[in-house]
Amino acid sequence: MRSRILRRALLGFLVGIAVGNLIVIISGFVSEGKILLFDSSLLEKTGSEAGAFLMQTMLSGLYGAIGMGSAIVYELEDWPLLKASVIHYLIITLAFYPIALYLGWMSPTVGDFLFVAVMLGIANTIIWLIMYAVYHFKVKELNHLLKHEKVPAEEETQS
Amino acid sequence: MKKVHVTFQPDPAAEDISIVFSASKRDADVEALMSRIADPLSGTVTVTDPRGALVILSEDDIITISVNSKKLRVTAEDGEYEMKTSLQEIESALNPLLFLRISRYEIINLAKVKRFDFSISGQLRIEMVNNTQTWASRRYISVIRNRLKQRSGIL
Repeated sequence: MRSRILRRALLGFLVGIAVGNLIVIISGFVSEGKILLFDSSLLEKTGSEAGAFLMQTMLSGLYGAIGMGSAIVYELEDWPLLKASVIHYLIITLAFYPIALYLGWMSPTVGDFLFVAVMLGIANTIIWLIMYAVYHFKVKELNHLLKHEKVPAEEETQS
Repeated sequence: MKKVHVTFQPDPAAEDISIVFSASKRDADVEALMSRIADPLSGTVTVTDPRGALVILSEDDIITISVNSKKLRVTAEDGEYEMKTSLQEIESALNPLLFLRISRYEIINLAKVKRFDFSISGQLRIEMVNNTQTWASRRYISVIRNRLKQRSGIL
């Protein structure tokens, strides 16, 4: 279990870095081609552009590691799916706030907190819907097997 | 569990019934079947009815067996009974193709399942033929699927 969490976290770290940089690229196209590599407040905190970009990259990776590592809760099949979803949502939301505040991705206002909570809630709901659909079809197969099951022993008569 | 083929070979000269088991080797599956045939009480369970009288129940009539204080509650087609044994002990005595343990507290008879559902909370809801319901975690979905496939002779 521990090694599975670590493998997921490692993959999540790389995914987090990739997604973080992708967001920078996309935001550049959205703002008429001007790239904003990081928030200006981060430059003040780290003292250099390289330091700021490195910090953002590392923390994006960390968030990805937390997000994917904590998704292991969906594999705990003794937990109801809803419980796994709620726990995962709490982890990714509570982890996001300090990272986002430090990197300047959000301001410490009620509005921003709520916006983040809603956006992550929507993302988590999509994950829940996909997982629910997967299990729904598995259970549908159970009913199909139940309906069409034959007697375990096939009977034959030889004369 | 391997597939079982039951064949009847008429022999007008035979006075008794002979049962011959044919397999590549005498393994655990064969031993289990041989002991079930050899024991006339196999496929039955001895329980106590509400008046305290001993009753021999056929496995086919049992719907669920659940833990009730320090005893077991056996729910059958015609009512409820009790047993003074552990769930683990009774589980090993029951036909594994019919009965499946779905939690620490309950065994169900797969032949008495009416329907499976997946609830909003993400648990497996099992509706039995007597219109009672019980719950199992998602973990048992694949276990039940494999067991139903075995019963159907697919595995």
